Amino acid sequence: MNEQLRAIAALDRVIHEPGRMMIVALLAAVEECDFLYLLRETELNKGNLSSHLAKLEEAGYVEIEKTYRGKVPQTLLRLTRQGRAAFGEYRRRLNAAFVEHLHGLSRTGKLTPDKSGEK
Amino acid sequence: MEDIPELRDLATLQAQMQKPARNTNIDGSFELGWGTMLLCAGLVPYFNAAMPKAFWSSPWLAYLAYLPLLCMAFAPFAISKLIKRFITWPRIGYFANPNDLKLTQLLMLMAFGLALGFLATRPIRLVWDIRELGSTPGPAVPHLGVETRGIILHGIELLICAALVVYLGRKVIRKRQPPPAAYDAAMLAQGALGRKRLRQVKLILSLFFVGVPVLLCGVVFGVIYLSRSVMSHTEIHWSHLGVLSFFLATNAILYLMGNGVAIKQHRWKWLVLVLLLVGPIVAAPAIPYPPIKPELMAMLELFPPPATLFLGLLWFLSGAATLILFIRHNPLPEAEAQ
Repeated sequence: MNEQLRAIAALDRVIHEPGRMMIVALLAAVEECDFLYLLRETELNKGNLSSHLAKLEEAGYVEIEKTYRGKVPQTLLRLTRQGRAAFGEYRRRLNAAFVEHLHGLSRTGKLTPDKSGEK
Repeated sequence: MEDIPELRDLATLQAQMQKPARNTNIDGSFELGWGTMLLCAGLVPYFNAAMPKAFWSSPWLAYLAYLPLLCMAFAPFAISKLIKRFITWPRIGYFANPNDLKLTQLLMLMAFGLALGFLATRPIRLVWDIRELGSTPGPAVPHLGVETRGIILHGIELLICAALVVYLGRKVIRKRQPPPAAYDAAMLAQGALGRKRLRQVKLILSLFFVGVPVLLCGVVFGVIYLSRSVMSHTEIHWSHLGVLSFFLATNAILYLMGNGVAIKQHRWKWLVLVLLLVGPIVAAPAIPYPPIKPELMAMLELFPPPATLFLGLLWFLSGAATLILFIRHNPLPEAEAQ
């Protein structure tokens, strides 16, 4: 179980928060998007979204660009190279924690692996 | 399994990362673009037949014949961009998919296709010309006659096309980014359970990408063979049947893939899918066949214009219905606030 706790503890705390995890996952799948798109897809309110984005910007994971589309102000958001690398590492560690959890369950006999799956 | 927190987090990540791809055809822009393209392609023979003969004698006016082809080439790109710019993004917000085609990439792709087409056909013409020249009696030492100059020009064209194919090929054939995924397949394959799940996913994917096309091809082939109506004006050839059923099945798969999860939300699209498969066979005979030049007959027998028109119309109507529903369910943010 120690291994499992270690794997979870190694997760990036800036990303490992439900709101910010949703934001980073969405930004990782696009080149860039605007504030309205994130607002609709995450279903957070404007204040929460702004505060999460400010934290991500402070960590250097998100780049925020204020611009105009015609006469309408538009806030463009994209993951920085550092942000993409951090998210890649976060995903890798989360997968590792999941695999470790499965190993833990099978060691304690709570999960019996399918014998047909073994090579 | 569902109460494992890491698995829950991975599932949330996966759901979030797939959202932009799911929104690609949320507004029906893909269907409208593809429908316009097919309508233009189907209308070309009718357009050519409708033009007076004097029209073709003018070298400048004759260029107008390329207009439907030009519309056909740019319709999927231009319509999608226009709808997204003026209808979709103001409603659901702007997002750019990393694999979206840009205008410069589209132009390069077209130039690459043209050069590749020339490269595939020019050597045959060149060999034919050389054999013709060799078979005609003439002086022992060849001189630069009209035929020789023609061969040299064809050779230069061939070299230019080859250079273009190599140059543009490097830019056009790029490695597309894989679809975003939260799960790390290599890591999950370490456990027996993970290996089993991965095998199931591979099986489902191979069934979808191999089994469904084969099944659809078979169904369409059978229906066409039984009805024999779509090409009732000519004798039926097995190769024609095969190409047509492949065309219809590919078209249906493209519709299915283009709509993705949207088909769950709009169940009426299943009916459109069935119509796309069997509709052209049943309904196309009602559309009059255009008078076709004999040299184009062979090609148009493979892709009958009435069938292409019918498919284009179905795609277009499906796209228009999707767009109307999208506008109705997604008011502009200002209107929503009021």
